[in-house]
Amino acid sequence: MSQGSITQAKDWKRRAAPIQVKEADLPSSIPSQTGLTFNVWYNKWSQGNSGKERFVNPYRLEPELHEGYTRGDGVKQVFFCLYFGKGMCCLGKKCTYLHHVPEGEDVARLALKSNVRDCFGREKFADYREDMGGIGSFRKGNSTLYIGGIGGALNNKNLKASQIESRLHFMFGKLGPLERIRYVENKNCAFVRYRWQTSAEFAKEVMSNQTLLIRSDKEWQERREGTGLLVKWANDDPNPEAQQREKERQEEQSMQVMLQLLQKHEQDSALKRKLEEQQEEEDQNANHTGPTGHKLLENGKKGYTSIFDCIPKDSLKRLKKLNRDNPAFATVEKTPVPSQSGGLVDYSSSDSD
Amino acid sequence: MDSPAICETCLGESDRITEAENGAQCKICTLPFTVYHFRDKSTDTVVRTLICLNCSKQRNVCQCCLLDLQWHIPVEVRDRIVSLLKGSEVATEEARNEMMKRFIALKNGDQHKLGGARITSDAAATDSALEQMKATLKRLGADKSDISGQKRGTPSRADSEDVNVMSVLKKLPIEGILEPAPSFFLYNIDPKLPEWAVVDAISSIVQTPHWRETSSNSVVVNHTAQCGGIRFKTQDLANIFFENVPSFQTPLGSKKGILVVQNSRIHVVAWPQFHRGALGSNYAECRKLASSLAKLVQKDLQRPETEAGELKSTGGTNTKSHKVTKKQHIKKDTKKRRNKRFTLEL
Repeated sequence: MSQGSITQAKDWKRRAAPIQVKEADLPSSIPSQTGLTFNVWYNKWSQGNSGKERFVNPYRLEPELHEGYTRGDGVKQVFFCLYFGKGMCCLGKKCTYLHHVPEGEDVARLALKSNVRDCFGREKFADYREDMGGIGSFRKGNSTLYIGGIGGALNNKNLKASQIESRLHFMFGKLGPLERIRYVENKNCAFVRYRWQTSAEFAKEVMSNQTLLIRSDKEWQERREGTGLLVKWANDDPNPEAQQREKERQEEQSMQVMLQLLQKHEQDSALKRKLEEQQEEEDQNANHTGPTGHKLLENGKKGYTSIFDCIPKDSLKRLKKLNRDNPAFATVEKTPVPSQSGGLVDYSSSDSD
Repeated sequence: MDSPAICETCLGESDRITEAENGAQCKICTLPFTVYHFRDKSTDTVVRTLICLNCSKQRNVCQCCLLDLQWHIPVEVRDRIVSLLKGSEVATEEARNEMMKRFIALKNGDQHKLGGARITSDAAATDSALEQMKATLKRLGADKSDISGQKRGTPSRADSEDVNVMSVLKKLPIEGILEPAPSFFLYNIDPKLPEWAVVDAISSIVQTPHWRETSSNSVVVNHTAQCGGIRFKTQDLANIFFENVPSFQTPLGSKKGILVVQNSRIHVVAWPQFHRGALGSNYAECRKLASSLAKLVQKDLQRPETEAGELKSTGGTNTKSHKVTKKQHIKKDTKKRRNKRFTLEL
């Protein structure tokens, strides 16, 4: 399974990410005038009709063409470029975020990094937004997307259910390994489930406000008159079969995590034992006088006999102690800051100098 | 002043942390709290605490990444593991209402632990939990091998008998056999089976993930109808697939392929007229299609003697005679046992 994704990864790793849109070609960030005054903070016109909120994104991510390595790969960045997702990153290989479709390795790294940030590095919220849009919640893993606004995204072109499903499958399938996809004909909406939540987060941004028209449609020229797809988080599937499936999947996941935890625990305890042995040895060496001084030196000269040797000893001791005493640990050097500072800017205060 | 609860992964090698009193609103209890922020040197970004210390203590999570401090996993997963170990439902209940959020935040996090935090915040309890995990894994592992054999067998309920699927069935290669073709029809797909598992299984057979076309759909899995189709980019890849996929002989003498994915066995036949829309258009039609395909599967598997004997992939001719004699002894086998043995031989 993972082998497949690794071989796939090589494709984009061999080339630099191209510039998707030239900076000069980007449309103005100020929206067209719909009110009397422009609010700089919200980037919106106020006083007047707010105008049409929905639009069709003129750019689109084409994974085969746009993927590539960036500076972000060099510095081991874990987050993806949001502009890349929307098909409009003008930095290309100079971007400090990743420019490729999330794969298995990325998912594993993101899971270790944080539970509260999505794949673009944005903070999630405790609860879902009322309309289930936005970045989503950190409380619940959700890899299912709700796709609405299909009629608008097709400019009301009449298509058969199987054709719509096929288009959705084609467009969403490029953005990560799909688990299942279901188009509900009488509601004109669809549910797309990915293997990983990261893929869902990515696809949600990529496919929002996109058109479902393809080049061979005669409506292609007028695609920007439509309204674009509405992609939101899906609620739990009420279907008992689906719930059963979900339960089994969760159980499977818990078992895997338990296995990993046990493995990690064993590694840790092996490390501890090693450390204790080492310490005992040292103690013995220290107890002896005279000739052992030479021995000690020799010990030091031996170089790194195992990986544990190259870790500073005091840090390991600290870790050990922390593990034993209290799982909540941190080393803090406090630099008091006036409370008005807002705490957003990282600057060294005069106290620390 | 208490020191913040930040895990080592978040903290990294930062040697300086800045403190800002009442710097932000806690994401869980919505009260203002003392924010700590520091620079992550590897990516040169500012990391800051997002929830207050009390909320983090109550849930035993890191203030920056909200992963469990002991196990470094999401709270949801931790609670599920703890409930598996305890055998009863353990969950971190979260308030929806703002007043209730603040009310929960009043309780001192040192004594008042929520959900699985009771285990992971206590070193002794964590150790015993790890011991319990070993036992649970063993038990669950045993359960798993028990059910894997008898998983399938009950075809979908015959709830939509009045729907006529003859027109759909006509387009599908019901009488088809496994032969070289650019595309194949898959049936007997477990509705639980995710699409990526099928794709991965095929990728490992043809030894490359690039067998799909990039300009159109090459994989269709209709979970309701329990069938699907695949199309290869080139005829060469299709031939590799045809040669390497294990096959068996049905009682009627036609050869069919078998794709084993996660304990379920997908039957494979050639389908030269790959057509996405042919797999039923509405829910009732798909259900009916699933039940007629289930009958087909029953027919395919009627006599296991011939089927197992003709297995192409095993190839061991010297063991063959032995197998056949053995099978005559256990003719009245249940379907469950039959399936199990079959997968073992594969």
